[in-house]
Amino acid sequence: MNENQELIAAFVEESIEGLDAFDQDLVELEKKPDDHEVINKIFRVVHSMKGTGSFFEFEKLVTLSHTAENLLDDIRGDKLQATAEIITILLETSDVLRKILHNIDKTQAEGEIRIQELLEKIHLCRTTQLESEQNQTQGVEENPEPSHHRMQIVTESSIRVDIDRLDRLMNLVGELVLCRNQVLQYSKSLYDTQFAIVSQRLSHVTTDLQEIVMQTRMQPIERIWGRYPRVIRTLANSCNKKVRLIMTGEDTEIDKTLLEIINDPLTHILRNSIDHGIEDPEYRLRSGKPEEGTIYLSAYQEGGQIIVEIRDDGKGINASYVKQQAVKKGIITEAQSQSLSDRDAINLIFVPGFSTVDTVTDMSGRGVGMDVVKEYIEHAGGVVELTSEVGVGTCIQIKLPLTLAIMPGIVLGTCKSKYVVHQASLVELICLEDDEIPDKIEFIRNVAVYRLRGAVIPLICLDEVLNEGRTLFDVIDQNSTINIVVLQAARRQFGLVVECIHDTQEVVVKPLNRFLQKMQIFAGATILGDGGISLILDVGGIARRANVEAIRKEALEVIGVQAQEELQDKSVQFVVFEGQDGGQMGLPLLDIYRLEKISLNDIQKIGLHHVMQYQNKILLLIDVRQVVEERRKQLRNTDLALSEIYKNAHHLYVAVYEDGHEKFGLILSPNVDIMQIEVENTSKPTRAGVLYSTIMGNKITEVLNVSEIIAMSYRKRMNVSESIGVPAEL
Amino acid sequence: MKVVHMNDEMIQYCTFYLDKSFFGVEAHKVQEVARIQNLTTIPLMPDYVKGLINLRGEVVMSIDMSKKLHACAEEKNDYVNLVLRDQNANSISLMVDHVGDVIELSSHGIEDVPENIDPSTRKVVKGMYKLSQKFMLVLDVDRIMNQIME
Repeated sequence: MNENQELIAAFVEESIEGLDAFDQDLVELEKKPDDHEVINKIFRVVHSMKGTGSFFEFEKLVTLSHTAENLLDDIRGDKLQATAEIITILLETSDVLRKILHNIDKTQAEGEIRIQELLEKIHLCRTTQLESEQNQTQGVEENPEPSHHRMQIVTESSIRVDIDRLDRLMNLVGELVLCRNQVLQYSKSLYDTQFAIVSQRLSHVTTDLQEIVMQTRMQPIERIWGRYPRVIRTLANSCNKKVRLIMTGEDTEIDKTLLEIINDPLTHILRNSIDHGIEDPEYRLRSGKPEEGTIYLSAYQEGGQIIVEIRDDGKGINASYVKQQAVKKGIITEAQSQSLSDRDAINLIFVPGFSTVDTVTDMSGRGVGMDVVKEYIEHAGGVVELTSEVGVGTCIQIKLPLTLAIMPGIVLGTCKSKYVVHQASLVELICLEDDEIPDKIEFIRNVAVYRLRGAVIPLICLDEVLNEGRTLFDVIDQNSTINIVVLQAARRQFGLVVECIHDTQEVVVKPLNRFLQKMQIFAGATILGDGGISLILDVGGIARRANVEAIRKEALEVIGVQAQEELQDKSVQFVVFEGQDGGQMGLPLLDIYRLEKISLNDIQKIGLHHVMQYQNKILLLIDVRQVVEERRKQLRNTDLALSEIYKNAHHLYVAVYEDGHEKFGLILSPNVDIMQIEVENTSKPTRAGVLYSTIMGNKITEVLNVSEIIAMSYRKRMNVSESIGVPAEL
Repeated sequence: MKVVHMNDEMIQYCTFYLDKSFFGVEAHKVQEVARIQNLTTIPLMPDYVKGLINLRGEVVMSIDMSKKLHACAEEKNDYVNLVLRDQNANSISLMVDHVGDVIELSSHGIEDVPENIDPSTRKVVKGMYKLSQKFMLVLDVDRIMNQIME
């Protein structure tokens, strides 16, 4: 490419990015027509396009963006209101600009695009509204410089890199990690201090390198989600339905290639949802639902995978209707449809050639079906799951692997092989001696459970689940110490009995063949430090395969009344600590992820927040004492350093909680106690943040409401930041 | 690499022997021929899925083709790994007896597979050539890549 072509290519790329933000901001503007910040953002996009476009002499582009700029300037100057009609025209402008840019990209010229009609429409828009304003204003200039326009200087702090280069970089780093693991392995057996020191250094540098390189490829899923509000708006309008989109976790980062792969499937699912899922407004009102349908789009990371969920509150998928259609299209026979469960029936929509709607609408149903969606996602190494309830809604869950992920793992061994589990799934490791077994492990018919501090968790044996020749009983018989790995999948815990627990390693995840991935028992493979291949276990899949939930149910049934009472009895463990005014506060131990004793020096203040490093991430801390209102209602100075508040303390206890995929910590106090009590008499809470009060250890104790405290802490930060003019977000 | 076969084009085939049959596979779909590698068994798999091998950092699934085609085949001690790769860069390794020459054949010459070939072999083969001294079965790589587990 010659230099000019390169410049043009860069211009096109930047402009498309600008238009993406343009579209998103327009939808925002429709909801908040007076938001000047948004108006300015939108204005800047066409302004810069006009400027750079004129440098290249792209006349149509310049004229169109100039006209749009004038319209936006009128809005900015409060001469025009951003009505739905104007928004639609501006979106149309965006589309035409894209077409022109597309031509420029392919042929270096603007091509035969007609813009005259659009120009006239925009002009009409401006004049009709302006005419009614004529009475109040005198001559209006083109592009007057409004006095409230803030100048913003945008600095370049990024650089474009060819994605192939990043791919190669990633591969090399992956190889480096494997090599590093081998070096560390040798180092252990060599007993050479100098070598050990050097290999440690190599290890640290490699870890840092790997983290940064991985991040270069990661982009927030917002990159593709940003377009969706507009898509939803257009579709809803054309179907005469009212739909809103709620997105959470849009900052979840995902590898760039995966982003490109899931964009189409997600768009298609959204279209389906609006077209077939959400009912029209009158129907909804009659069914007692709000007139406006809602689509919830969420994304998060869990145990080495990205989970994306699309949920709507529409009419759901009717299993019998699906069966009918399937029989009609010859996909299944009448007999088969009789024996099909509802859950399996709705999954028939994934079969090629299926379309539940008889009339193919323009949006969905033509050509691209759910079968293609499924294929796309499986091609990327992911899985799709569909659940639905008639009248309530439909939920589609997509799980994608973090392909070339480097994950912190723990190596477990059966009697035959080594397997790796993601550390995020690990709750704790237990080593039981022979004599403890009768107390802790209970055998019920054919299954076993483990008593974990008052909870009963199902116990399974890895050798048995993987058919490697031994059963749980064999392992327990043949060993004098039993290794139990307590794992967590979908918020439920279970214990995995293994022959041995090796070490922790940072491993490079190699994707497995598609078929293996689909079985959902193994999440990938890796090459360990000793050179051998080891499979990475899909914790959820293992749990399902071993029927952990069935074991849990059976155990709870059989353990029966006596133990049921024991389990359900109100004897609960609490972490008890001193509150800010000398009163005692408590938190149920069971909800706490980890109770950590932290040195005061490790807690830092950044802006308005206390934070600390935890598990290689930054953990946001909430000081309970500062959030729960003081009875005496004194104004608290939030700038006091922790060391001043907690004088004479070197350490503080922090209760770490897990909220879905994120963690945060509550700062308790320098000393804590663990008490197991039966909560009998409780009294209503006396202040916000408290769940109830009861007596513990002869003292009145307020048991705190963690979720309320989080909400209060957030509100507090927002209030303080507003009053001192600092953004609440870090 | 995308190869489009026009009607009278010459196609290059990598050939190999498996049990008593002679096979050919389109050369551009062959990634490499590798010696016996350390195998890591995968639990819970049918017996023809031998395990995983490490090819220069890439983890590839190894299939015992004899077992796949003839249910009661014996364990192979001596074999070669024929590693295939499709256009999506997915790889799979087939355990074959040994590899023959690379030959060039006209796309005209491909014929339908005769009736007397057993059903499981027919599933993985998409055609046949009558050569001067033997028949060559053309392996259907896409079928194998996509449906090996069925």
